[in-house]
Amino acid sequence: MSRLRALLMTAAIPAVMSAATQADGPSRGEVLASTCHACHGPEGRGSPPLPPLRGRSDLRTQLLAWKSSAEASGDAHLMIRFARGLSEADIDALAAYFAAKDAP
Amino acid sequence: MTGLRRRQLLAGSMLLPLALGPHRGSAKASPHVVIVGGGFAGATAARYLARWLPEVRISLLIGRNRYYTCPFSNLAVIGERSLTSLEVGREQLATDRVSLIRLQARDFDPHHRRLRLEDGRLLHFDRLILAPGIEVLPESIEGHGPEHVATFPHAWQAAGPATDHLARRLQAVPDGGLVIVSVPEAPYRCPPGPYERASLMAWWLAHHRPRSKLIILDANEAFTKDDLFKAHWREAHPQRLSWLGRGDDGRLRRVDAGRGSVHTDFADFQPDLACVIPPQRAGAIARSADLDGGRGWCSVDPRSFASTVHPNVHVIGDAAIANPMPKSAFAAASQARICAAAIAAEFSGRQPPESLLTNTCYSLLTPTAAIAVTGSYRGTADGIETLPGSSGTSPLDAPDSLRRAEAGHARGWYASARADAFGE
Repeated sequence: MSRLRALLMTAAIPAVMSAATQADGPSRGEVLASTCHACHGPEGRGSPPLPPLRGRSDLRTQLLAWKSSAEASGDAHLMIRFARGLSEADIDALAAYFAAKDAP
Repeated sequence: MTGLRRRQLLAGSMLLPLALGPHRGSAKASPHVVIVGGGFAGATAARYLARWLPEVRISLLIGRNRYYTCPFSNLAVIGERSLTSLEVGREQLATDRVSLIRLQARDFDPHHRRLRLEDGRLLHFDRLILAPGIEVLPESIEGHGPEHVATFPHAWQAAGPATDHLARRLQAVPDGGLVIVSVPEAPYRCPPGPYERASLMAWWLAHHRPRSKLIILDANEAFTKDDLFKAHWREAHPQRLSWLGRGDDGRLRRVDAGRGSVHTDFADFQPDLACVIPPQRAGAIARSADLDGGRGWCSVDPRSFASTVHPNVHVIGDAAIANPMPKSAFAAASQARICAAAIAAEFSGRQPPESLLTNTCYSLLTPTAAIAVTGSYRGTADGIETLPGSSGTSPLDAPDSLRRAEAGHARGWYASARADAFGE
């Protein structure tokens, strides 16, 4: 997981920059994750019945499965469509971002 | 805006000790961002900008009025939710970096980067974010005007007392009475909102005034989720609810406030309640300094939501032209995050992250059944692109269990969106 995460960090922050500027402004992963906060609670803490995302290790597998789903139907039709709007690099960045957070 | 007098400067300084003055040479280190509007767009922008640009100082203008969310206010119209439950106290938006100002903006000077408050005081800004929402134009309908809104209530510009008034008017409709909901030509705030309202009113009539009818007079020929709404109306309200589109003489042409009547080109109606949703445009502050180019809505670069007229002024939410994104609270908050990320990146000397914009609009068909439309988008130099495969609605043929599940998802979204925007 840590190797994956390291890989993702570099994918999410393409420009080479100093530690000082990295502290300012959000990474691509954080901006993407903020999109999820709209429904899944601030910081991905969950907003019943919408589940929490923090501390999850299954998000990459789940989002990739939705992204490759042929039909957007059933209870998950919205998530299938959201996943289709994400690149694999986006999914990696998102999954790494939430996996690194403590579960609520 | 040339009369920056010492007294005004001093008065402003007492209000906001750090917020005034051009801060030459230090703007990059400690920029001052003024945000006009404390709805979903403005509040989300303030919270995310403070998070992503630690040195920022923000002045957030929220006006004097109490604030009630428009999302879920259609439930209050039919008495299935209290007005109190829609109220957001915004004190928690104030932090060491965000100053709440309970005044409105009068105007601004984009060249000297000064905004004038309604009491005449001036605020200097490095960036200005305008999120004023909409203004309604009842006077654009023949016979109508602001003085007749109580006769033809809309409760569209701001939820609150107007929502209560509409609820009381609905309760006063006799059994066997007629309710009309008229829909203005797009664009307007909350594209599915009129149809959600009509669906919920029809549900209420079915339970409380079963011999009453509801007619939707629509200036549009097609609308969001129309196949889903129409299928529901055919099944649940075949004799109760009629929709007349633009091609069926559905466009409202005139009202008569004395009689309470409403008129299309060829038909006259004498309803017990006519909910006339007026045509709309961006709030006044977003139409000053030629930001709207005379079009009523503001053109923006969707990678940062910077105005295409004045680049140090950003416009987010309903006031912006963001097609194909709808004018929704969800879209407004999404635009606010992208705007905040772009401003944070710029003042940090970084490239802004590539934008991902999203929207989901839930609409209630009954208090316990909902449908949804969603889409993901990318802002480009040429406009907003819908990402392939990301856009669509709830399935047309779906079991009741899915409609019930989506009503639950809608409640989850509402609680989450409020918490994320307002920090409550």
